[in-house]
Amino acid sequence: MSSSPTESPVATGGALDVLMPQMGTSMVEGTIVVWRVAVGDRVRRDDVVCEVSTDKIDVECPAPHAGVVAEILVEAGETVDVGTVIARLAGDATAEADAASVSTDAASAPAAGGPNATTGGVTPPATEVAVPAAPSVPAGTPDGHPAGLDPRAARRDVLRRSSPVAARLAAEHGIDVRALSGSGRGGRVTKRDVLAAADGTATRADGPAAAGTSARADGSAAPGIVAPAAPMPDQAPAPDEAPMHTESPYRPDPSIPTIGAAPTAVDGAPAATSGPTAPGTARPATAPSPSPGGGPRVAPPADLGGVPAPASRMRRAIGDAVRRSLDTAAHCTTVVECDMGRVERERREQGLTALPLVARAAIETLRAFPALNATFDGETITRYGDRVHLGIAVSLGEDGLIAPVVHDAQDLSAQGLARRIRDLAARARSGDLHPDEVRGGTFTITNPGAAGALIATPVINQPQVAILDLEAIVRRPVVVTDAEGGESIGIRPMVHLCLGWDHRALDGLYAAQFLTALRGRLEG
Amino acid sequence: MTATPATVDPTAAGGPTATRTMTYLQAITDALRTEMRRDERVFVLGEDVGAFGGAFKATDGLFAEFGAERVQDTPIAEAAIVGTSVGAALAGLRPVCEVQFADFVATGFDQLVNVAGKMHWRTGLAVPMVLRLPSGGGFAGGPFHSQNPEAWFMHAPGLKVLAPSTPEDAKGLLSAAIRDHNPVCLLEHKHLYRRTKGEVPVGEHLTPFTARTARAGEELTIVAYGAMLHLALEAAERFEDGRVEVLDLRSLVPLDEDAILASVRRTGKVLIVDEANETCAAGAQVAALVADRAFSDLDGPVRRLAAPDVPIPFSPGLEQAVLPTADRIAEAARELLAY
Repeated sequence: MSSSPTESPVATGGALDVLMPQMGTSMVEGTIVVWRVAVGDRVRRDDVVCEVSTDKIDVECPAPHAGVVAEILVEAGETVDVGTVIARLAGDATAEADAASVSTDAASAPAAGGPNATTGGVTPPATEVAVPAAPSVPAGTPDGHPAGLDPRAARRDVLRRSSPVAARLAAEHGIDVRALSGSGRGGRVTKRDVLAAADGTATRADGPAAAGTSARADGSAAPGIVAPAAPMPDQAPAPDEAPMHTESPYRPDPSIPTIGAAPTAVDGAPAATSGPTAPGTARPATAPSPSPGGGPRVAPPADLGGVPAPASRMRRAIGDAVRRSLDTAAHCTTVVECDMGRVERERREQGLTALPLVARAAIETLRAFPALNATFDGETITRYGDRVHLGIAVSLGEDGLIAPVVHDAQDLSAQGLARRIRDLAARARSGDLHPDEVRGGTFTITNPGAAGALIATPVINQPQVAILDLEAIVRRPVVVTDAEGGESIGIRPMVHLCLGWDHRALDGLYAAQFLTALRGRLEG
Repeated sequence: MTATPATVDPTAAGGPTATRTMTYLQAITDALRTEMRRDERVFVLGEDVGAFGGAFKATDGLFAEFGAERVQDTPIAEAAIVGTSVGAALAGLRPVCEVQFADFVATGFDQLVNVAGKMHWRTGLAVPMVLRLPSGGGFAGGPFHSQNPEAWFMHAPGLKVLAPSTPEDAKGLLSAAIRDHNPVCLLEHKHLYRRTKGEVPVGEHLTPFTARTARAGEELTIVAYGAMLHLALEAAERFEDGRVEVLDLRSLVPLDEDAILASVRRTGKVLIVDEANETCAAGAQVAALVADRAFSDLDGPVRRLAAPDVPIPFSPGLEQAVLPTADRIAEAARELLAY
């Protein structure tokens, strides 16, 4: 299949753009951690130009092309959307000329919404001309087109910004598609747009940059005024649009907060954490996060010997996620006590910990309780049937917590789960997880029992509807029943299975039945 | 033998529009029984098709009704099965041979492609025979029992290639194939055998070799056939009514070019789904047709979803990763709709 547009270098005026890379299908923005190159440095293709951090993963950004670094547009520490131009490379011969001709006022260029705005920065305002209000435009090359653009190139330009049928219908109706604002991907003019224009109901374009820039502030979008045909030979999709992908079953998960992004309001929960910056704008990663309640932060007295330090990116991401989950879900916790004698024996025989055995049993039990293997966005409950994408909470010590996902965990034996969990945990701790490996869970297991805790009320990993908490296995005196029904007090390894569940998605009886069924499976 | 009305179900009204609920597999058996009762030149042959009723029980009950002369067990030798059928067809009979799994037809390839397919051009003689080919994956059958080899036959002139997706069409296309004067490959999808149920006309029922609009829509055409038709419908249902059209090809050779072009010209966007390996699959032919003849009506790229060019894995997880799924179809549809 075709590669996504953001993966290829974009030529702008002889220079080659370096874009914020998309590492994994769900990444929507990234923070430049450090630049490895400076303006004037010569780079080879695939040389690392900078390090990029997503909310949880650090990656290296390779040069898309050999050349000389002409411009660095996004400073280290800034967060920008995927697809934003972060630097420009020039071919050797043109390096100096391009570096001189391109606007050096770089701070605002990537801030205003990506490629369109960036191109706008190099388009002289003189190209804005008035055209008649009628849908048709005078024949010939509109002003603003570079001289010498031959008809074939013009047609290709039209096709690139529309489609064969849109171009044909536009020609039949005497409409210039370049003067229309498109409703398709990246402002593409669709068949419907042309038909609407032919009916006289179309909204006139306010320039090629109109798509996705509803917040155009300079007032130049007065009706009848267009900035037509600024040559945008390789217009990339608007950066707030996910790249097209048909190969991957994964989708961007907007419900998982990314660092620095203004949280979206959830039904019933106030968007209290809306920050001072809007999505898509460059912002320093070190900017203090607004306090979750939106109220003033209380500074501790200065004379107590405390050492202030900004919360880490991960700390703030975790904070945002659990706060949002508690604000969103109707959290309930149900606890069942389980005799782990059989599990303890099996795990000794197989050389495993209890976690993969419990995980395996939970996966099998979920088959009969599909409402727990699900996600809920407030309106739609999505069930995953036999497929269990199992999140496993992994502690990173003081740094925080991450829940990598074993996708299609139902296909793995306990041994296979153990191997996968070990691998994910090791890579989580070394920071080598792929972004897709921390997305898309449908049920999560957390296992803080190793630290000795007896009971807890776990927080659901949104948008899932339940989380199973495996607590410490403790030898306790309990009533045991022998084969004849006689009862006695025995010493048994007991554990609390605590299920945190969302009362919006299911009810307590169901949760209790699940836990009882799980206990039955574990006790054998 | 005289033609008798095939009213099997006493509760059925017996009229021309009477139907019975059948599985895809029962519809195939019903077609065989109906055509064998109607025309005594029709006979079936294949591995274990006799008293055993076939590996999938498609010929169950036929041996008891028609006897060993007309329901013939053969050795495990596809070249012999196909070759015998070619000879029988030339001699005036109407053989319907069962290849136990479509994958195994490769050993009968020369008899099919070079002998059966070319006979009419070389000699002017008709070869009215049907190859029943249980094909397709989705049940962890592995690389030898899961293939979709329809494109092999599409590429060989002289063969017709059919791929029903519903019980009604399974009966209608098989019946029409038996009455056709050419060698016809009928790709029966194993995954549909017992999973798909539907109303099937009682008695003689013929389906034309044309495409069928399985769901009407105005903004995107999904072209599919066989098992993929059901996934395409499942994906289409995730969008508002009237947006996504689903076209069931039913016949790959002859390909219903008019129906494909008419639909794509109306919607302007097309997604073509193949369960077969991507390169040169039936969908590639559809894509080429659309690009060639509907270019100026396209409002988006011609997109295909197919299995990658790898053998179908045994592992259920891997197999699902390889075969198109409703999720992937819906994802591609969503992107095309927004294009």
